[in-house]
Amino acid sequence: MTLISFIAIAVVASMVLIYGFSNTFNLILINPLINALIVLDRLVFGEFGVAIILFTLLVRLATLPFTIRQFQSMKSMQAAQPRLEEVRKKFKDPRKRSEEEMKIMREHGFNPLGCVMPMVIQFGLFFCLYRALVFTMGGSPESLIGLSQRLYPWSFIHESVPLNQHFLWLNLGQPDTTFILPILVGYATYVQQKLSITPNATPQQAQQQQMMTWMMPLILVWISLSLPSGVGVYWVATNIFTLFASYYVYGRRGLGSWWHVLLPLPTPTPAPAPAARSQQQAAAEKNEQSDDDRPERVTAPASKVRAAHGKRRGKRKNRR
Amino acid sequence: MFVRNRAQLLGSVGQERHGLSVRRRAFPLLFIIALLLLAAGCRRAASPEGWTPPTAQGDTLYVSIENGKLAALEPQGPALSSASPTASAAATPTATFPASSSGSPLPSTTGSPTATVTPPAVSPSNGAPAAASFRIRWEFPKDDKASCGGGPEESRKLEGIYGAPVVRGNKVYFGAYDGNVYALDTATGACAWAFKTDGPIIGGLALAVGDTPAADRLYAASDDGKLYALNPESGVAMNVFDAGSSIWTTPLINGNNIYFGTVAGTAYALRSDTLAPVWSKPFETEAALISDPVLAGDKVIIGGIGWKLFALDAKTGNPAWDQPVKGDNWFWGRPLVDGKTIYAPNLDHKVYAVNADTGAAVWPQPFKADDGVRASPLLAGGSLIVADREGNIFSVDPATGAEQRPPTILSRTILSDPVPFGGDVLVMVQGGNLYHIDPRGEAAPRLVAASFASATPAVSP
Repeated sequence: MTLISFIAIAVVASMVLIYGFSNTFNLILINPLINALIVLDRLVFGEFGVAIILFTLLVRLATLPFTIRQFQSMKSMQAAQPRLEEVRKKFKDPRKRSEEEMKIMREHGFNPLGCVMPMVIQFGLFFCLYRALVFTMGGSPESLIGLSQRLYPWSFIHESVPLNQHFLWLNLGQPDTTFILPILVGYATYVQQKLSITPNATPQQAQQQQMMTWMMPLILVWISLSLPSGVGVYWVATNIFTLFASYYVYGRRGLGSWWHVLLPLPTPTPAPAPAARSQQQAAAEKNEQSDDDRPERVTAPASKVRAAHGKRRGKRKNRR
Repeated sequence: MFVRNRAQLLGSVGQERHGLSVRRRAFPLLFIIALLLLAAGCRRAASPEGWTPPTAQGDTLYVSIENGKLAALEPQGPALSSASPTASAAATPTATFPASSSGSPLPSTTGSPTATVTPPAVSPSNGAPAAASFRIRWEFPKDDKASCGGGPEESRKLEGIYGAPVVRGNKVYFGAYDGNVYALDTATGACAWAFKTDGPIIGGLALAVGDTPAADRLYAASDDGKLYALNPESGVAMNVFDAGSSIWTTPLINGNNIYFGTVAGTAYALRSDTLAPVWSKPFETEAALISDPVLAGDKVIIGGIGWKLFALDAKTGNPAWDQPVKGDNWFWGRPLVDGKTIYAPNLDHKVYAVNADTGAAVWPQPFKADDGVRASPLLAGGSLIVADREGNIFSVDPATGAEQRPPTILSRTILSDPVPFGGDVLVMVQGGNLYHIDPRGEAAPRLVAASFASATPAVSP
C-alpha cells in the first residue's frame, strides 16, 4: 500500500513538473469527470440531469466508507457525551479535564479527522464537478470549444455533444431563475448541516456550528443563483444520499430524527449525565412527557448542551 | 490567571486539543472563503462572450468591442497603409473570401434583380482607408437599455454576439445570444426593430436581395431550431421553418436555395422564398453540423463535431466525395474556398487543404498551429492567414502548407474570423480588442480599437 502511494505521488509530482499544476489537475481530475459524465449521459439516453444524479450516486457510493466513518465518529461522540459531561463536572483543573476528555474520546474511538475528511472530499468533488459541468454544459459556445480539447478521442463521446441542457424545469447550463433550485439547495444544505453537528465541548465550537448551520445554506443559495443548475442538482442529490447514509448508520432512530431536521421545531433536552441527573431529572422528565408523540432523537442537541455549559463556565469564571 | 491557564493549555494534551480546536475553528472559515472564491469565478466561466468578426461598410467598422454590445467605429488618425510602402503597393485585390458565404462580413447593397448570393464584404478595392485607430460613433445598447421600434426603453442584455453583422442600406442587422435579431440605424445606432426568437442566436444572419426592396429577406437561424425569414424593413417574420433541432450555422444562400446544418446532424436545403425543402430528404450524419456551410462549385461544404468535413451535392444533398475529410477534432470554423482548394480549420490545431472535387489532400500534411483553430482562414498578401485560439497568427504558403515566417503572437484568445481591410487584416480577440495585422509581416501588429474592459496588452511581432 505504501509503495503504491509512493508511486502515485511520484507520478503526480512528475506530471506537475511537466505539465504544470493546472494541467495536471485537469488531466487527473477534471477531464476524466467530464468524459465520465458524457458517457453516463449517453447511457441514460441523453438525459443529462439523470446522468448527474447517477454520477452523484456512484461518487457517493465510492466515498461511502468516508461518509460512514464520519457518522460513526459522530455517533461515538454522542455515546461519550454523558461521560464527558461527568468529567466536566468533576474536574476543575482544565489540564486534567482535557486529559480525561481525550482519554474518553480515545476509548470511544472518536477520530476528529473522521468528521473533517468526508467534508473535504465532498467539497473537492463539488469543486471538480463544478468545473466539469461548466465545461460540459457549456452555458456558452466558448466553453464548448474548451470542451472539445478535453474529450477523449472516442466518437461515442463526441457524438453526444452538445448535451441536452433541459431537465425538468431547468436549463442545466444556466442558473435557475425560478429560485426553486437555489431554495432546494439551501434547504438540503441546512439538513446536512443539522445532521453533521457534532457534540463538542466548548461553547465557541457550538456557536460556530450554529453559525454554519445557517450561514452555509445562505451562502449556497447565493452561489446557486449564479451557478449552472447542474451543480445545484448534484448538491441536492448528494445531500439526499447523506440522509440515506445517516439512516444506514443510525438505523430507524436516525431516520426518526429527520423530521426534526426537516422541520426545525424545538428539540428535546438530552438525557443528562448521571451526575447531573438529580439536578435535571425533573426538567428532562417533563420534556419527555411533552414529547411523547415525537420520535426519539438520537443526538443530544449539542448546541444547547454546549450553550448551557458555556453559561455555567462563564458564571464560574465570574465568581473567580 | 491567564498566564497560568495558558501554560496549562500548552501541556501535551492541551496542545493536542488546542491544535484540534484551531483546526476546527479554521475549517468553517476556509470552507466559506473557498465557496466565496468559487462564486466569484462562476459568472465569468459561464458567460458567453461572442466572436463576431468586424464588418466594414465604407470607412465604418461594426464590431463588438464589449461583450454583448455592437459599436460603430469610425477612423481617426493617419491611414495605416501609408505607413508601409509595400502595404500600399499591395492594395490590389489580393484578399480572398469564403466563397459565397452569405454570413461573411458584408453583403452587397447592390444586389442583382433576383435573389442571389450576397457577396462578401470587406474588400481592399472598396477604397476604405486603413486608419491608425478608430473611435466609437455609437454603441448599442447604451447603458444596457434601449428602446426598439419606438417602444418603451427596456433593459437589454445581449450577452454575446457571434455572427457577423449584415449591412443593408442604412441599417445594420445582427443576432445576439439573448435570442433577438436587431436592426439598427447605421448613422445613430437607434434600434429600428427587434425580433425575438426562442433561443440564443449563435450563427450569423444571411440577406437575400430580391427584385424589389420589399422582396428582400433576412434569414436568422436560432438555437430554438427554427429558421426565420424576416422582412428587413419591418422585422416581421414572413416565413418560418422548424428544423426540430438547434441551428448554430450561418445560413448559406445560393440562388433560390438556402442551406444550413443543425445540431442533430442534419443538413437542409430549402427554397429561399417558401422555405420548402429542396432535397428529397435532408442529409443526416451522427454528430452535430456546426461549421457555416460554404459553396465550392456545385457542392455545399459543411463540417461538425463528428470530426468530418462533408461535401454535399447542392442539388440533391447526396455526399459528393467518396469519403468525408477526417480531422482529429471538430470542424467549427467556416472553410475557405479558393478555386479548387478548400482550407478547413479544425480544433485539432490543424488546417486541412483539400481538393474541392475529390476531397483529396492538397498539402503533404495539414498545417499545424499551436492551438485549435476556430477562426476561418483568410488569403491576404499572398499568404493564408491562420489564427489559432492561443492568439498566434500564422502566414502559410497556400500552395504547400509551409509556414512562411514566424507567427505574430497576440497572446490573446482568437475565435473570431480575421477580415481583410485595406490590403491588411483586422483581427478581433476575445475581450474586445481589435488588432491591425500586416499580412506580409513587415509591420508590427497594432491595437486599433481597445475594449473598454481591458488594458492595452503587449504584442510581439
